[in-house]
Amino acid sequence: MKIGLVLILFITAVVNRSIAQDYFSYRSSLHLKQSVGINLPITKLLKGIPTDRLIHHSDLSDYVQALSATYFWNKRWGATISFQVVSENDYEDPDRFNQSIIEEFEKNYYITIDAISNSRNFYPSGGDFNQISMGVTYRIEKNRLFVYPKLSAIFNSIQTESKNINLKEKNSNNILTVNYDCGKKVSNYLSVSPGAIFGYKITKWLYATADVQFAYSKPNLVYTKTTTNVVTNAVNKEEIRYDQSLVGFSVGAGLTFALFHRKMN
Amino acid sequence: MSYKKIILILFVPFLLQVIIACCECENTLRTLNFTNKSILLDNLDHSGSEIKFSATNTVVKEAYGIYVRVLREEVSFYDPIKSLSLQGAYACSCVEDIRYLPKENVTSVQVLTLRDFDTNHPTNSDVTSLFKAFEQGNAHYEIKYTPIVDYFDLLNKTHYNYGVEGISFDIFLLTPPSVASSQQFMVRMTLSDGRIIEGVTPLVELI
Repeated sequence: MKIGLVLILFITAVVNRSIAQDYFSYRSSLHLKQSVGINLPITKLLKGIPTDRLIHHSDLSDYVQALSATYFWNKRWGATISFQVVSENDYEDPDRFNQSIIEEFEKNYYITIDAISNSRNFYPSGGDFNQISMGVTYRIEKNRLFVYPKLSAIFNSIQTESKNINLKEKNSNNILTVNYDCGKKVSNYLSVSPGAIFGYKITKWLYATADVQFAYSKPNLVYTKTTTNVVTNAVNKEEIRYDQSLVGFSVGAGLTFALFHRKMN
Repeated sequence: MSYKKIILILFVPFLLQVIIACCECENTLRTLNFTNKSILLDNLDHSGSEIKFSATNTVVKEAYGIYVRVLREEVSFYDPIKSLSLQGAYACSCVEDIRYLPKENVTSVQVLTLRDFDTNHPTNSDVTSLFKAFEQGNAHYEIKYTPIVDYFDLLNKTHYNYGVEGISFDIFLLTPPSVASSQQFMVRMTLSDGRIIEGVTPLVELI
């Protein structure tokens, strides 16, 4: 009860202060923001099958926005570029892929698994950042409170791995080779992302922000599973498609440094 | 003392070292001829993850193979006439390369059964097509079975620096008999000089 009372008093004080002072609005032309948050999936890319473990992606993930820079060229409109690192919560190690293969085949086969290439040697197009976004931001400010609706295009990079598996049949000369290959080490796809930044101006230079962002994308990852019977040379190819539409939203919080204050029209 | 003399004195140990270390490498490539002498065979058990010699000569029939070792012998040494106009190379050490050339070619390799294999292959039948040679590359996944008729070209190749002690390869029974039986196989090589060399496996129980 006491905590609730203190909270109401605090909010009242903040709102009063916001209404009373309007000297911060529409002044800064460059915002540099850092934030952290979480990506929550509405639809999922991963299917719960062994090849999931070859894709460096998590449907539920954390993100660190290392830098988001917004330049306002007038009072209302700005252009934003952001660099984010997205975690791979579900992706632990290729050993999990190996384990799923072992569980599937160990009853009848001796198993040897080779990585054709370790995708850790390859980097996505954005360097260490697996998400780069660009977009436009609209500015609505009222004293210390503000909301910035925005529309972004996000360039996502997913690293993928390929695997070769030898299955030597127990008590037999029969050997199968199974190859999982995605064709490319890094798969890039685009997301369309409307969202908004809500915030409070702590000082003229420093803002506290909360981000909400929706994202829609349609990645087109295709793994080809090629099974070759070494004895008969019979080849069987099977496509495993990761091409479902991805919808999700992210929420986060951070700090913005507002620079280059001047009167804007 | 002028600076030229100082430089000369500093160079003397270096020049001495070069003169002492150098030797003449007359011809670093020697050519040897070898001939195929005999064949040794053993039974292989491929029922596990690795290929093993069968200690008991009892092998699951779907996992049977034959280890083939062709024994060779050096028969001649080719010493080229030294050129009058060209000098040999000079180096601080000479490494000799040896090229091994087959004296005769292997023209065919046959696998024969010395017991009744099945209803279609009685004793002394040619069962070569039922076996294939096993090849593995550097990586685990570079594996293949090659028909024996395509494989024996390997035996005729010139090779370098591997010696003439012999060459070995594994062949595996990929079409086993339908019932368990006691078997024995012979591998016969026909050579281009008219000779035939043969080897016989130990008796094996295919279960």
